[in-house]
Amino acid sequence: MVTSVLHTVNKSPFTSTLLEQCIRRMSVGDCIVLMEDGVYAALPSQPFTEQLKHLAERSSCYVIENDCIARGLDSSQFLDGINLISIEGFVELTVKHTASHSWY
Amino acid sequence: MNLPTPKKLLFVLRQAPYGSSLAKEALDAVLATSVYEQDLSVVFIDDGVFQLLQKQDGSAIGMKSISKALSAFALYDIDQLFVCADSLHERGISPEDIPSTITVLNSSDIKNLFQQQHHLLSF
Repeated sequence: MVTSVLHTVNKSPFTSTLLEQCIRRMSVGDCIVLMEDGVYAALPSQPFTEQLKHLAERSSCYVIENDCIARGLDSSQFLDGINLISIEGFVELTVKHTASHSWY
Repeated sequence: MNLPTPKKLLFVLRQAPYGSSLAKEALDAVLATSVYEQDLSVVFIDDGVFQLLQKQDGSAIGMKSISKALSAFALYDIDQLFVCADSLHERGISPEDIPSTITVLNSSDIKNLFQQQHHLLSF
């Protein structure tokens, strides 16, 4: 049985290595959703930019749109390959993948 | 009657808004403390600088906007507000992106600020 995993990361990459820990454990076909303070990972200034850019070339990467709006982040400045997603879209992703892994 | 000399208190705000309740609790603590007429300062360092971004809309996630609450500081005569230049730079935030009422300090100025206090309160 082949599974695909939906990974969620909810901590800022500026104060936590959680994003890097997650990326290192991801397989082809997995997907990552950045949520809560994890949305700061979409900024090109964050320390794990290279890893996330590399990931975005082979896997789907999303940020929760409302978490970005709340924090006053300008999505036009986000890294290439990072897509905005609504809460409803996130719920659909959880259904599409066989398992979810919360990194927190 | 001689009033006791005011103490120097520095609130150190280190956390991004919304991800935890610390940013909101720090604001409440700052406003509450201001009533006691102490020598009060606030410094934003590390992810705390994200609290200063202007276009926040907490209602998108059912929260009150931290940036709006910060504007209450002026009403409470809290005017010693500082931010770490390095923390801004690391996050790609330009000093024009934050309120002009906040003084930008380099890391060594912030170390000095820490050393001038009677009490440090870290959030």
